[in-house]
Amino acid sequence: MPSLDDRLVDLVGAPGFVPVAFLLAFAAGAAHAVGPGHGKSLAAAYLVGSDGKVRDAAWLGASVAIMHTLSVLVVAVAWTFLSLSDLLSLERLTSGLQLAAGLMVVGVGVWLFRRHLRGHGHGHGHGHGHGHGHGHGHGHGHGEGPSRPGLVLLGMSGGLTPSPAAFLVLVTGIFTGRSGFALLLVVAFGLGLATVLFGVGLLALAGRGLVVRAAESRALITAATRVAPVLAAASITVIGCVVTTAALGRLAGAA
Amino acid sequence: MIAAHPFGDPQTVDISADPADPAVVHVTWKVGAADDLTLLGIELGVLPEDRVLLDGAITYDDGDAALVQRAPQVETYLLDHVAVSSAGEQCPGQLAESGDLIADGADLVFSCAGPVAAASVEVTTLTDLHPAYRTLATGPDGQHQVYGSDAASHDWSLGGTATATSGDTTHTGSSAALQIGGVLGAALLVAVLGTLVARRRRQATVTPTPHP
Repeated sequence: MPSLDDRLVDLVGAPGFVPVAFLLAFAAGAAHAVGPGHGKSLAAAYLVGSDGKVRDAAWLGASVAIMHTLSVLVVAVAWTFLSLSDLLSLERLTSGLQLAAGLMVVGVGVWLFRRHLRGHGHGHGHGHGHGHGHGHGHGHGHGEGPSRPGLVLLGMSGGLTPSPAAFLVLVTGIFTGRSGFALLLVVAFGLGLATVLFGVGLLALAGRGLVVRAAESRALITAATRVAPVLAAASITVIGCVVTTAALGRLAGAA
Repeated sequence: MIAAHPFGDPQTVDISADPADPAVVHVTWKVGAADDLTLLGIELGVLPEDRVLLDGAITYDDGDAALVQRAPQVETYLLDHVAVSSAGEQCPGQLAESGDLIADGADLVFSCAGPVAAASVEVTTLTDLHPAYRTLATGPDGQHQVYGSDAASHDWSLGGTATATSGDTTHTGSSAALQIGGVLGAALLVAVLGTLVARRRRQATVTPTPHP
């Protein structure tokens, strides 16, 4: 059975069935986000450890969708019209983007750490993040109270590396004169991606709500929720380091 | 099922007329990414089949590309999967040059009976391995086509004196710019309207409008 991604490329050239095409693009994006290495652990970590709201989860999802669409657009247009493949291979380019994404995540993690330490005088946490270094790691995390720039930055890092299927869809669209339709499919793909990450954010919020409610009766969990922000910051930093290292490894391997 | 493509450039062909001989058509084929070459190597029997993992992913070594490029089977494969015909007649082809199949590609040369103004070029490379493969093709005067399992053949205009399809690059470019600009403009409009509506609603909740 062909995968959703494969069928998506077929749709660009196929006339008719347009609503089906958008549904499929959305589903392909969602399926892509469900796969490993898309920073869902970052979203959960950030949320559990911070005072995130539903609105923050939405901001996060939206920034992933917008960044992903823009990165696909820029890479596909450059590949088609500027002979990008003569200058550098897509593999190197995407590794470079992944490196940037990893550094952005590290930056946000460190910034959260400092913010927390400054805000609470003391506090120390042992980072215990289990990062995923699979293929193209998309990282992002969650909003802590009013810290929207950090949130958007994490979301952007999640959408910085274009998905291969979305890239091929747009390039095929440009080549066959249906670039507008292809771009709409890429947008739908990004929305599918964002929806899954939004869902993960909501799940993490619900989980945190449970912990906080339980903590009202148990002193031990109260202490646990107090160190949670530190753990979140540490996890995000560690995952960012893993993504960065994986990207460096791929860049070194491609050289 | 073998995965069609992880990250990497898609396979491409470039179709061009020979500057010296108007009866000759050049087709330069580039494989795309290294794992495609490994997949092809397995298919041609150059590489062992245990390279394909259970989930369909392919492990590839740095040496694979060189092994496959040197294999004589590649020439046969390419001439079986790329064909040029002009005025209804097949043009016999041969592999003129084949270096690094990822960076430089293989140059196939087809000699037709007479000067070629228009040619029909068929490309089925890699689509026999997986139907999801696409070949992004470029030709003279910025002509663009996409080959796939359902579109194996396209017609190309090769008459050196920019004839039927002159200015095709600008056409593709402006058409793409127009369409992409339209979609982005619409998205921006939706975003602006959405923000306005949200702000209205928020103001409405802050200061409830008294009922008359």
